Parts: sequence; C-alpha cells; structure tokens
Amino acid sequence: MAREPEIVTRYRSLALENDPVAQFKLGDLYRLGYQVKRDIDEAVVWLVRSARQGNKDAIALLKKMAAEGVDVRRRVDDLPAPRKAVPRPDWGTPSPDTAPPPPAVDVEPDPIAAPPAKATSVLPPPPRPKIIPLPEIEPETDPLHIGEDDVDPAALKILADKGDTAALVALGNAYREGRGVAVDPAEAVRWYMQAAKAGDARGQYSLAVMYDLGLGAAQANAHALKWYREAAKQGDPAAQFNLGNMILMGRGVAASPEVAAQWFSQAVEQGDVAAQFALGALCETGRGVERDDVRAVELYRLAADQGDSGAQFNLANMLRQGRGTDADVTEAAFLYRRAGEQGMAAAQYNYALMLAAGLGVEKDEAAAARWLRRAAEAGDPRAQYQLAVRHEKGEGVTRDPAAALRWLRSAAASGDAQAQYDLGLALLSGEGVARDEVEAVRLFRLAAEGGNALARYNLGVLYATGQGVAPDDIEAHAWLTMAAESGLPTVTDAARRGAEALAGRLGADGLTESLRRRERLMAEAAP
Amino acid sequence: MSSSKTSFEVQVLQDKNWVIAEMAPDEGKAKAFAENLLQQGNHAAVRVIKDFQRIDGTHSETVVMEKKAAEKAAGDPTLSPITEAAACASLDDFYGLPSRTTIGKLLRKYLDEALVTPTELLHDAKEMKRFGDKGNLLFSAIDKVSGLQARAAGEEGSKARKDFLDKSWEELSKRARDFAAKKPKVPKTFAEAAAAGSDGFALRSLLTMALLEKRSWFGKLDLLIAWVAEPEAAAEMEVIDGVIADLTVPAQVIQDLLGFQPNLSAALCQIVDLAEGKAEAAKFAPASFTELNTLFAAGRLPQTREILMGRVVREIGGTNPLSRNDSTKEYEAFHTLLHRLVGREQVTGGPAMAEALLQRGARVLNSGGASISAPQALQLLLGALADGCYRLQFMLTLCAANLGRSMGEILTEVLDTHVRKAVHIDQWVAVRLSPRDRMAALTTANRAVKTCAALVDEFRKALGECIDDVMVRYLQDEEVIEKIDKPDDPLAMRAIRLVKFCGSGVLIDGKSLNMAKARVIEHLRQKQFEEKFLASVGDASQGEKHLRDFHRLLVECGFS
Repeated sequence: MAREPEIVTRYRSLALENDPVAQFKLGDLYRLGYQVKRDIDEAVVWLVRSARQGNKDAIALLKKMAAEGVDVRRRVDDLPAPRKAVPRPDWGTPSPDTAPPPPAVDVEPDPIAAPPAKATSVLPPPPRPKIIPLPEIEPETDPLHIGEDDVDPAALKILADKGDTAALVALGNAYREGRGVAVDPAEAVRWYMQAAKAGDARGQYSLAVMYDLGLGAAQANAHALKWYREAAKQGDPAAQFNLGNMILMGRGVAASPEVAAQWFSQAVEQGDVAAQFALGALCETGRGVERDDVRAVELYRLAADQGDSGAQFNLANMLRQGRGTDADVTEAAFLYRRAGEQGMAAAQYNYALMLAAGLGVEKDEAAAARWLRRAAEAGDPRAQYQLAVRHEKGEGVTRDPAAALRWLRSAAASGDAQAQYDLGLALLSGEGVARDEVEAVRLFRLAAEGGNALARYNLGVLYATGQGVAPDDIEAHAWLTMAAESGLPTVTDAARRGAEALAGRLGADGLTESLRRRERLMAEAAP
Repeated sequence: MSSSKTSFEVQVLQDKNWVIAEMAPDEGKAKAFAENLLQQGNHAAVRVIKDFQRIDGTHSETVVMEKKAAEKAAGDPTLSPITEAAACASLDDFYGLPSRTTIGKLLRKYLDEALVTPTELLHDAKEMKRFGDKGNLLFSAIDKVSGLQARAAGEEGSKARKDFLDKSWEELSKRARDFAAKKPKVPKTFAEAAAAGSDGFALRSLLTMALLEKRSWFGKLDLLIAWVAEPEAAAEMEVIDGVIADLTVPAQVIQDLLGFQPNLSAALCQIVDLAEGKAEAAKFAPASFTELNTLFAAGRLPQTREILMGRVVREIGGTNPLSRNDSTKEYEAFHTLLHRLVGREQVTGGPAMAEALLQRGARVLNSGGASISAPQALQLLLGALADGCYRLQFMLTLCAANLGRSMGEILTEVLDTHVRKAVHIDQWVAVRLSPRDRMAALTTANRAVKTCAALVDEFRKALGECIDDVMVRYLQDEEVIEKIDKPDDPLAMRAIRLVKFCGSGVLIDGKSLNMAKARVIEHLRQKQFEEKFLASVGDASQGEKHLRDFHRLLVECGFS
C-alpha cells in the first residue's frame, strides 16, 4: 500500500488531537477521495466530530450531505479526552534562589498588554528558568596529535636520492603545502616530475594537478591530460576521476560524456567519492550513460555516506520527489541539513523551506529563519529574498523593515527577479524607502528580463505613462503583450487591455516594431 | 616603501602549526612585531611571510624572517595538569586501575622518559627510588594528588591526605624492596611467573621484572600479548589486562597502534572499533593491533577497554579539531563520530559519552558561535541525529548522566515531545530500510524506553504506548498482517507465517503484538481448524507431523 501523503498525516495527527479544523479537512478529504481512498463513512465520522465542536463548515457540509441522502446520524464516538499529565522523575524544579539573577536589561513594555492592577501586596517575581551549562568534561592531558605529522625534508631527500619515488612525491607535497619548508610550487613540480617520470602513479597525478591548476607551472591542459592518463592507467582513482572530468568538460580534448563515464566507473569501483557523485549525476541526467534513477540514488548514497555535500543534496532532491527510490521527506530534510552544515547554500535554503513548511521535520519558523540567514549570508538570492519577506512580516524573526530592505536589496543585486520587482515597487511608491522612479524602472526591467510577469506589466505601464523613463508606446506594447502572455491571472487581463489600448495608437508599423522588439526581448530573456 | 600589492604576515608556531598573529603593511613593522612576540616567550617560534600579489591575481609567499625561541634548559619533567585524582584508602588501592590511571596521567612526561608503566613504577624498588630521587617530583606529585583528593572529599585541608600518601609511598617502597631482596629470577614465560608468583603482588612484580627488560612500549606490549596466549594466563587475565591498560594510556602508543588515520574523528572511531573487537588494521598499524583486537573481541581486556573509552570521551569533549587538515570537513567528521557512537540500541560509552558528544556538538553545530546552554546544545544535537530512534536513545542515555539529572524536567519534556510528535514510522526510521528492520527499530526504541532506569514507571509506560501506537498504525496503513495472511494461500502456510511473525521479535509486546496474535487466534477458533489445516498441507501423509510442528511453533512463539 502506498504511503499516506504528508498532508493527510498532518491533518490526521491534528484531528486525533481534537482540532476541529483538521477534523473538517480530513473528513472532506475522505468525502472527495482526495489523497486518500474515498470513504463516506470515515468522512462522516470526522465531520461529525468537527461539527460537535461547532465548526460551521463541518455543520454546513453535513447538512448538504444529508440532503444528498448520506446517513449522517450514525453513532460517532468522541475521541478520548486530552491525555493526563504523566508523572515524571522528580529531579526537582530549580528553586528561584539557585537561579542566576535576572540580567539587568530594560525591557520595553508590551504596548498591547493591559495595565497592571494596583498591587495590594508585593509578589515575588516568577522564578526564571535556570540556565543549565554544558557539562565539564575532564581534559585530556596527553591528547592525540592526528594529522600533524612533521615533515623532515632532509630525511626525505636522502630517501629520494636512493630512488624512493614515494619520498619524491612527499617532498613535492612538502613544497606545495609548505610543510617543513617554505611554499614553493615550482620546486614541488620539480619533485613531482621526477616521481612521475619514474612511473609513480601518485607523482603523475600530483604533477597533472599542478598543470591542471597552473601551480608552479603554466596551466596546460595537454600536460595535465597526459599525466592524469598515465596515473589513471595505473589505477589511481583520483586521476581517473580528474581525467573523466576533463573529458566530460572537453578540456584539452573533445568532450565525450561516454568516455568520461567509463573513467568515472573505474574510479567508483575503487570507492572514489567524487567519481561516485559525478557518475550519479550522469545516471540522473542520462548523459553518457542510460538514464537510471535507481543507480543514481545508489551512487549518490555512496558518496553522501562519505560526506559529499553535492551528493547529499542531489540524493535529498530524489528522496523528496521519490525518484529512483521511495519518497522519504524525513531523510531528505536530514540530508539537506547535512549538506547545509557543510556550507552549501542551496541545501541551507531547501532545509529552511522544509522547516518553514514542517515537511520531513518539525515546523520551526525561527529555525527556518536561521537557516535562511546562513544561506543568505552565503549569497543565495532566493534565501535573501525569503529572509527579507520574513523580516517584513516578522515571521520567525523580529519584524525589522530596515533589515527587510537590506536583504531585499541584496537579493535584487544578486539577480532574484521577485526581489527586483518588489524593490522596484517599493521605490516607485516610496514605501519605506526614498522614492526613485528611475531606479524602479531599472529594477523592473531586470525583473522583466528575468521573466517576472508583474514586472513586465508594470514596466509596460511605466513606458506608456513615461514615469521614470521616456515614454515609448512600442516598448510599452511589447512588455504588456509579454505580460498578457504570461498566464498569470492577476495581470493577464489588465495587460491585454493595456496592450489593446496602445495598439490603436501604434498603427500597423508600430505593431510590427513591437513584435520585433518582443521577439528580441524574449530571445534575450531566454535562459 | 612596499607597494600596495605586498603585505606581511606575522605568524607564530602554535601547537605545531603556523598561525597568523598579525598583518603588517611593511617589513620593518612586521619584523619588530615578530621580535616582540618572541620576547614575550609565549611562542616556540615566529616568522614573517611576505605576500606578493601578482597582476594575474596569484600570490607568492616568501619567508623573510624565522626565529625560534631559545630552548629551555632540560629540567625535571613537570607534572601534567590533571583535574581529578582517584581516592585511595588502603595500600592495595594504589595498585588498582583508577590509581594507576591517575599516576599515568600525572607523571606522563616522567614515565615516557623513563619508559616505565605505573605498574612497573609501583612494583620495582629501583624504579621507585629513581623516581623518588628525581628532584621534587615525588613531593610535587603527592602535593597535587592530596590536594585534589581533599577537594573531592570536601575536606578543608590536605595535610592528612598528604601524610597518608607519604606514609603509603614508604610502605609501597618497602614492599618492593622486600620482594627484590628475595632475588627472584626474571621469568621467561608467563607459566614461570605464575608458578613463582605466590600472590597478586608477587605475580605483578615478576611481570614487572620481565617488562623492564623491554625498552620500548611496543616491546612490552608484544611480550604481554605473547604471554596471553599461554594457557596459564587465562586465570590471571586481570593482571595482564591491567598492565596492557597502563600501556594504552600514552597518546604516542595509541597513535602508533592505530597506524595511519586521516583525522581525529577517524582515529577515535578506530579506537572504539578496537575496544569492541571490531576493528580492521589500518595502513602502517603494527601486528599487535590485530592481536589486541582479537583479545577485545573475546572480552578479555575490560580494563584496557575502560582506558580507551575514557580517552575517547576526553578527546571528544576536548577542543582539538576532528578534521585538523580540512576545517570544512569538521561537521562531517563529527557526523561520522556521532553515528558511530549513537546507535538505536545504545550510546557506546554510555552517559559520559553522551555528555562529551553534547559538548563537542555544541561547538561544531553552533558554528563556533557564542557559548550555549545544555538544552540549546541538546536541540542542535538532536537535529544532527539521523532518525527518531537515534534521538530517543541519545536522550535516554543522557537521562542517566549527571547532566540529565541537572536538566531534569527540561529533558523529560523534550523526550516527551519527541515521542508524542513522532506519530508516523517515517519519523522514527528511514523508509529505505526493509519493513522487518523498520519494525525491529521501533521495537528496540520501545524496549529502550521501557528499560530506562532513569525514568519513572508511569512515564516509561506512557512513552512506550506511544511508540506501540506508531507500530499499530504502520501495521494498519501498510496492511502488514494482510500481506502475511493472504486469503489465497493455503491455511497452513498462512497460519505458520502469522505465528512466526508473532514470534519474530519485531513486534512490540503490547497492542501491535496483540493485533497479530488476534489474527492467529481468529484462525485457530474457526470451526474445524485442524481439519482445514491438514487439508491445506500438500503431503497428506505428513499431515499429523505438520500439525504437531505447528503446535510446537505456537508454544515457541508465545502462544500458550
């Protein structure tokens, strides 16, 4: 049996807690057979429970159903009364005298709160919650020093002189990373070259990386390819991945997803995380291999388990959508969080949306705002816009129009079309910001070019009226027509009427010119 | 004057790494600042790096000055800064694991220099004298330990403790001298030591004689591992385990034992694997690693396990990065460690580990932000755990910790909310697992709640019932019983499958098990069940046997 959709689960859980609205919604879902198997008996049960609590919608619907011949007078048991408090371990409530003194901060009086009644006696202040510090862990007096291995270049040089290729590579690493010696990429290349020419796969790989990145030597795709290939042929997984990547992107060689996939496959067999992700992406998109969502999920999971944030993000998307695997929004949310914790802005944004919607994770507007802030600070324009909206409405954060405007500006500057439109609108009306029609036009144009129908409409109107811009009926007609074609109900009619009104003024030549401009604008706006 | 494309970094050597202390606009100022830092004497070395940005945006770095602080004159090894010291009331307590662990930590530098374990120090007259003659080290050590013991016991002064430790040291030394006066032979095998050692002290002293001949930690360890293999060792494993435990205290031994480890998180996971006897030797690990792993798997090294897990707790609770070479991987390193330690059935390392994870989680998950309280840290940590079962186990383990007791109702409220809000199995365990694994996970969660000694009965019962409700809902939504009890299948097959399902242990002993049992009883109560059962068995000649087997199965699966 298919899993119950999240929305039904949520309604059911609230309905079981005697929420009349949820009971009505659940009953209606059963009545309509929407998202659940149609079941009139079950519908009546929930609607009756809702009606008993006075829900008008439920009462009306039951009357309607009764009129249609449905038996709504059957026996329906009430849900059990709210649970009684269960005794907990008596660990003691912190007494006021053990609580720290309240911080000396002046708190603004709540303007809505009623004035306090005249006190007849001085009541003690309510106890403040005790601040529980984190536990003190006994310090380790002799800690491990992992990953702090000292490099002794002199000892390595002695080994290198004896022909130890691993020592040659280690010396190259030392010069590249500045461990035990000053950083010197050119010197690193010299040591890697010796190791590479002696046939050492790690030396070949490291040399290829230097050519690939242009470190210590001029960037050269041909050399990078040559040495990656040499190392890859010897079975070096990182070289196999990098070689595949260059071939995929057509760097220094004709692009071939098929050949790239073959190299990725070899690296995957050796557990290379980057290759697992890359091959997963090819399987998901069907590039170079047959499209295979199940295989993509397998590969993403391998990489995700090893901490690859890109794989975690893509796997979360597939879990959320139920592609290649059973849908699991809980795991999807968890994976977004993991990727987000590693700094991936897109994952932070998605996790914030799931928190805000209570999808796969408990609804938490404040946490959603925190994650949006992380994504916004990482430069994600959608997060910047959402954060602006939340600051404007005070959702999950303190209402702060100044912060809202700041984030709106950031989002607009980062290219978010909706933010450009909203900011343009604010500048046009002068609401919360100094009026600036010229800047408003500029922003509307950006948003309109980004496909925002409202911006297209407004831009058309501004060109038609000459507000903030020289009047231009042809330009106005072009934008209004594009807005009318957007399919957005709120603008379609108005835009069409505006365009029709202008058409009369333009004449045949003007309309032809408008069409020409529209085609050009559409081409420019196309991603 | 330097161009605007040139800058100077003043770096100081901190914990084997160069870290930036200051940026300076010109070389003179940078060098003066570096000299000043060196003069302050807080850093082993300083250096000035000239950073030049080329037109193409690339950088070149040149070391323009590097100076080391003058080496301090080699003096007596100093004591390590311990914060706790095991209490000791009798002479035998000094030989116990808590006492030896305290000695091992406090005298780490001396013991590393002398290459002796606390067991060897306490059993060899010459080693005791050598230590006693090492400047004021003995007196400083007694002073430190007596102070810590007095403070832990709530005593005002430490003089009485100090006098007791002084007197005890004399008695311990006399014991060792008396043993040496008997001029025993160094045992070549454990059998020899066991035969000659009339009591625990004598056996340990003979072991010490053999160990002192080995002049490396691994030499001693290999000797002990070899002796474990002797049949006579079986009866004296406690003694051998104790010395191995001493040997696993130094960080250097652990590092050498583990072989190559990419970061601290991996190293700690490997220690836990080893302590559970589940480890696979890493690159460059010595052969003794595998041998120890076998002993741990056989449960023969409980004291050593305690020492290793104690280190893991302290390392996790400490501040050393889990991924030193790549700070972007700190979260994933923590994630790996967290999910290695927090399981559905237990938190490895128990309440102390849960506290340490909370401490570490507060730093990693709060992105190094301002310090947070324990409840805030708990919320962050719960969000970092993969599913509801892991979260439940973590909270239950935390209930038994000191922190759990100080959090009191705050913790039980979080626990209560967690259990009551997770009404669907998806919130408890991932969809991708098999139905059997999912049900087993829920049953484990239910059992964990019911057996949590830190909670009162009624609370445990209420939470357990909530989890049972989740299982019931799962059975209904997924029609699990209907899928097992397919009407088209022969009755015998249906009945046997159902009974096995009831006895499989994946159902919670409550509503969900009763639900499945009710279906079995429904079958059993139908008219002429046995005739129908026999009729549905393919091989009629074996009918009676099948029926007998079925009745036996019923009893085995809890149907009386």
